[in-house]
Amino acid sequence: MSLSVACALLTLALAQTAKPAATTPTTGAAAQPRPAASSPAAPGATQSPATSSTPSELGAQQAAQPAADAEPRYPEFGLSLDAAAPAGVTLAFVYRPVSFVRLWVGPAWNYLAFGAEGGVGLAPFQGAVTPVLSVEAGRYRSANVKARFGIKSGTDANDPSVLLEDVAVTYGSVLLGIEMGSPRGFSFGLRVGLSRVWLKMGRTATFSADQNGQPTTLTLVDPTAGGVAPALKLGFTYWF
Amino acid sequence: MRRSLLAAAFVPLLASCGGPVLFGEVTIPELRVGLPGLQFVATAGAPPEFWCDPTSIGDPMCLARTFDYDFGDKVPLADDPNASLDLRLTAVTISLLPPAQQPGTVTDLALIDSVTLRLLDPAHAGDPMDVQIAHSVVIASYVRTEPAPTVIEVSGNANTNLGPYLLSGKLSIRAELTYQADSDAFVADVEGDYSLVLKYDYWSKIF
Repeated sequence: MSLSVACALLTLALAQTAKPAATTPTTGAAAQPRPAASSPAAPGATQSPATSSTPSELGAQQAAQPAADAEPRYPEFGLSLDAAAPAGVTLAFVYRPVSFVRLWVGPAWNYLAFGAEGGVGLAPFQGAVTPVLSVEAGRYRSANVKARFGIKSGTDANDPSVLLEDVAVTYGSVLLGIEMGSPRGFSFGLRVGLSRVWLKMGRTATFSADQNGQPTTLTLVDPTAGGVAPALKLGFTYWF
Repeated sequence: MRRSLLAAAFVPLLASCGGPVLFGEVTIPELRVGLPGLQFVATAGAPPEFWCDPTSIGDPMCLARTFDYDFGDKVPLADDPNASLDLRLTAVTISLLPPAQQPGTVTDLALIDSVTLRLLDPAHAGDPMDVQIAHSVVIASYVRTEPAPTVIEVSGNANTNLGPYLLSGKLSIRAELTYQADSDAFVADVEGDYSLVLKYDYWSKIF
């Protein structure tokens, strides 16, 4: 079911890619400003200015030329839905202050708990297929991993699973990948990279043993596990 | 070929960070090893092997005890070249038990002038003790400043990494207690506070 939805969304993103250039004004005539293309003078735009325009019209066209060379405006806001490993699922509000920068923040979920993620992405140029470099970080609320996975407490007094009763996940990722689709509408993204993950355990575990007849206790306070792992992120963005 | 391409793609991302690219890590900022109810022998009648210098009993008035921790079969990463362990001793606390639980007449630790903890080099484990001491590292020391303490806190030498000793499978710590005068036997709780960072470089393991 979820695979079908993902395939449908991917198809939609590819369909956006395949649309005529007029809807993705990034190159050639498509880069002309919309008002010029839809103005009443447009029918005459294919004729030579020397034969069809008065001097005053020529002046107006020359004045409009800088606007045509200017970078086309893209929607500033978007909504994205991403699934990533090891980060989790994020629904984010995306802001594009300039065409090559995306900032996002939103709630996240990793099966254990809810949290939040924020990030910044750089897309050096806009097109149907766009490379994207992103840096992001997130943090989840503390969760009882034992309860979530139904891990039973051991009968042994030295049960280490007590450490799993309060685990908070924090991560940061550097990802590189591509976005396919329209920078004005729907796009699909695939990125790979590295994630630094920290699992902070807020419990204290005490183990006791007998070493050569001498009782010995070992107490672990606030241990943290983690590391650097490969990361994968798939997601969709709708710009509006 | 595919692995090389994968490596080439990832390495630049962390090239400036140094260290392994892909690794797992366990950090324990506070690791307490407790020896509750540890018995300290009386100076009078202590066997020669209990003296810091068995050839000169009573001068100085120093008793020593070596604690051997053999982790060879307990640390699964021992001798694994992809594992690194940073273990630092923060402090050792000797807390005298209440008089009711003492075997003798000791009510405080006023007779202890100083405490020195040495880490013995396992490479010299079979050598005479004077040779072992010559190759040891002082990891904690204490000089009494209070007149009659019941708790002694020996500050650890945070510059000494005990990790390589632990990864070699054995940790031998020699405690030397210098007395002001003859002391009766006593019982105390001894606790060592450590910090630990265990890192496993699985990037090197895979590639």
